[in-house]
Amino acid sequence: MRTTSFDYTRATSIDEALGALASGAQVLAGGQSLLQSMKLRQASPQHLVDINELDELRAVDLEDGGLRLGALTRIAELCVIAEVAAMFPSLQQAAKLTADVQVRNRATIGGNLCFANPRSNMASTLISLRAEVTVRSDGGSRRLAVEELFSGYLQTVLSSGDLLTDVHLPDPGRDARGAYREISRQPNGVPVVNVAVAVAEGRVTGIGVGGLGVRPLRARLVEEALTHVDVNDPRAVDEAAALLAGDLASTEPLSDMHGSAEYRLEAAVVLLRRLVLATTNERG
Amino acid sequence: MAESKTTITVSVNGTEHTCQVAPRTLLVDLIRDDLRLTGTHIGCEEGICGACTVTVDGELVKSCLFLAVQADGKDVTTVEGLTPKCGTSRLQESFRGNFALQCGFCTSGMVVAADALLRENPDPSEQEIKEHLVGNLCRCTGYLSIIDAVRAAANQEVTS
Ligand SMILES: Cc1cc2nc3c(=O)[nH]c(=O)nc-3n(C[C@H](O)[C@H](O)[C@H](O)COP(=O)(O)OP(=O)(O)OC[C@H]3O[C@@H](n4cnc5c(N)ncnc54)[C@H](O)[C@@H]3O)c2cc1C
Ligand code: FES
Ligand code: FES
Repeated sequence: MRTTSFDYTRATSIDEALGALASGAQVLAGGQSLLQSMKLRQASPQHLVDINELDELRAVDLEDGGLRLGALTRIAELCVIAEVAAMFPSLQQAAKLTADVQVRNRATIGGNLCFANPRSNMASTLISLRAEVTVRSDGGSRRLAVEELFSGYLQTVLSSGDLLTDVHLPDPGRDARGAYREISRQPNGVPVVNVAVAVAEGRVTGIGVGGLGVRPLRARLVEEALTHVDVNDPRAVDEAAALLAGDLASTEPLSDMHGSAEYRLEAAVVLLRRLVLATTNERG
Repeated sequence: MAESKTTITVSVNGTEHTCQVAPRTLLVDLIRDDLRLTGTHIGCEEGICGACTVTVDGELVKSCLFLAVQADGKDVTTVEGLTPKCGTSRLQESFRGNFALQCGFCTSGMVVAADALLRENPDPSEQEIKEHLVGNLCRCTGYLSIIDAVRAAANQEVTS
C-alpha cells in the first residue's frame, strides 16, 4: 500500500505553515492517522505541510490557573508532564491508554482532535475538562470549545486554511479529581466507548463521552441532573446516568463492527455511573 | 509522471547517507530498498504490528508511519545498529536462549523496542514489559518466551 504522490513542505514558522494551508496544503502532524488514511486512499492530499519542527507549537505553560498545551504536544509527553499528572489526572490516564509507545511518541494532541475519531481518548477527556482550542488561519485567530470542534464522523468544523495551535485547559477547581475509563477490544486499542468525568469539590463539573455518537459529546443532561442529586447515593447517580440517552439525541448514534448502538449506550451508562461514584466518593 | 525528489541526509546506525527520495517514500522503504538494511520488516504497513520499529533520534517509531523526508537531519537506528560487529547483543542472545522466536518475523521489531525499554528502565517488571511491547505483535504468539527473554537480559544487566 502506497499513498498517492504529493508535494511536501517542512514548515519553519507558523506563518509559513499558514501560507501553505491557505493555498490548499494539509497539515501533517504525527502522521499516525493521516498516513494510514492516505495509504488506504481515504485521503489523497496534493500537498502536505509538516509542522513537526515548529517549536512554537510545543508550549506547556501555566495559564490562568490552568494549562496551555501546544498542538504538537505528543501523547507520550502527556504521560509524563508533571503539571498534567498533578492538575489533570484524567488526561494522563487517557494518554497512557492511547495506542502503544511507538504511536504515542509521534501522535499529537492536536492531530488526535483534528482527526475527529468519535472514539478518541483525547476528545472525551478534553470535553470533560471544558478545554478550548485556538485555531489560526491567514485571516486571524479564534477560540472554540473542544465540544464544538466536531461536526460529524471524522469531521471537524475547521476549514482547509485552519491550524489548531493550542489546547487550553481551564483551572480544574479546588480539590479537583477526574478520571477516564474505556472499554476496548484489545489493550490500548482505540476504545469502543470511553467516558471521562471531571470533579471539583465533590461535584461533577464536566462529562465527556466518546464512541457513543458519530462525534464525541458532552453529557449536558447528565451533568445538569447530577447538580441536583446526592452523588453518594448510587440510585440517584444511576438515574442521572441513564439520561445519557437524551444527550445522545443531539447527534447520530454510532453503530459499527465494534459495537451496536444499544451496546454502546448501555456500556457508556455503566462506565459513567462507576466513574461518578468513584471520583466523587474518594475525597479526603 | 516522474515524481520530484528531495535530497536528504540521514544518519543510519552511525553512517551518514545522502539520498534522493520522493515525499511519499516511507522511512521503512528507504531503509530496506535503498539502504538494503532488511532486518527491519514490513508486516501490516498500517502501524499496527510493530515489525518496522526503529528509533529516530532515540525515540521508538513505526517506520511505516514515518516519511523518509521527515528523517532528514536525524539519527536512525535499526536492528542492525544494535548488533555488534561480531556475534549478537546480550538481548539478542537472550531471545535465542529463551526460544523467543519461532518464524522470527516480529523479532527485529521486538528487539528494537525491548532494547529501548532496557535503556530507559534497566529492570522492568513483567507488567512493564507487557505494556511496553503492546505495539509489537507476534503472529507465532510466543509472547511468554519474549517476556522471559527481556527479563533474563535485564537481570544479566543488573547483576553483571
Ligand atoms: C496502532 C494505533 C493505535 C491507536 N490507538 C489509539 C487509541 O487507543 N486512542 C486514540 O485516541 N487514538 C489512537 N490512535 C490514533 C492516534 O492517536 C493518532 O495518531 C491521532 O489520532 C492523530 O494524531 P497525529 O498527530 O498522528 O495526526 P495526523 O495523523 O498527522 O493528522 C490527523 C488529521 O488531523 C489534521 N491535523 C493534525 N494536526 C493538526 C493541526 N494542528 N491543525 C489542523 N489540522 C491538523 C491532519 O491534517 C489530519 O487530517 C491509534 C493509532 C494507531 C496507528
Ligand atoms: S509494518 Fe509498520 S507497524 Fe506493521
Ligand atoms: S516469531 Fe513469528 S511472528 Fe513472532
